[in-house]
Amino acid sequence: AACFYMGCFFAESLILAENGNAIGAIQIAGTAETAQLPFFVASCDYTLIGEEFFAASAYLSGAPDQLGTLRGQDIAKGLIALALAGGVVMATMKVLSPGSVPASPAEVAP
Amino acid sequence: MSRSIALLICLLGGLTMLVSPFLPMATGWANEVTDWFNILAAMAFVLGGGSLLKVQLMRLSARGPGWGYSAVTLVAFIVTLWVGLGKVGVVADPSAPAVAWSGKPDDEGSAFWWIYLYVMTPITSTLFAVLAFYVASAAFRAFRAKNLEATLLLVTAFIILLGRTFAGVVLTGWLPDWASGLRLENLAVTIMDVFNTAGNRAIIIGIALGVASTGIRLMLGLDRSYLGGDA
Repeated sequence: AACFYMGCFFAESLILAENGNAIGAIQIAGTAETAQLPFFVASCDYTLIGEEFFAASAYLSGAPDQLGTLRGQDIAKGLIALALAGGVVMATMKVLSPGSVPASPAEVAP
Repeated sequence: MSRSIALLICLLGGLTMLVSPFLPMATGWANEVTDWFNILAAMAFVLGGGSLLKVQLMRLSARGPGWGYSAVTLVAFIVTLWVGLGKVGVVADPSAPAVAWSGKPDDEGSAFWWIYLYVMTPITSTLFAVLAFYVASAAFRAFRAKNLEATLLLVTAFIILLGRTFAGVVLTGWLPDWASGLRLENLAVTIMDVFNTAGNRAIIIGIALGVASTGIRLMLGLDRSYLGGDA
């Protein structure tokens, strides 16, 4: 048997997944809720984490136009990572530069 | 033809929601789309109720394993539906005391309210109480140190577990001030504030990109799986 849990099951996910495990089913879960992830990671054999959940449909279809959006997603992720790294470097330079004042809590993103 | 109309509605609805944060005049359109979404969601509830009835009735008539649960589900569903729609025991609203049905179905004193308070709430509490055992069972399997990742999970979980309780203070309270960062309660805070936050943010960025990518696929009609069949 195989159990697929896609979406948000809240705390009940454990009841479902543990029963699936009790009958020896292979279990695959996927969710975009970060609060839900620990439950699935602990109780299922495989978990689609965050973006993988959205990519699964396009990946399984194998259609080039759908796979193209995944490629675009990866490029966007790379650009965001570069922007983050650049921001970290600039923020560090600001703090380390002579005469700079420490950032106030209001300037720090939550 | 019907598929083309569905795709067009998806495209227009998606575009409206997409531009509404940037275009003040589109805010009203977005509200309109949201209203339509709520109406559709209400229809989905009706479909879901019908599907539940059909499945449980089939199981009941086949007398398959667990048919008793189907009987309980059906009785609970029908009674709750009747009580809610019929506003059984609803107290009339003070603004219209002569109209018996003027109160809300879930107002205090109504049968619906009684069912929620004395049936639904205890059942939910029981379910959540049972979860403690399921958590222990799942944690036992997940925390078996069978590879590097599982070992890291195990060690991190123990640090958080001990750091969040007084046991952490007792076990590592003797560490001198210059090594206070190694006290379990401080280690737990560091793990949550640094590693956990960083991981969470990475996942959230990925999710945001995934949502955007899926939205584009749906709006452009590249992904038609939501239409069902061999769309």
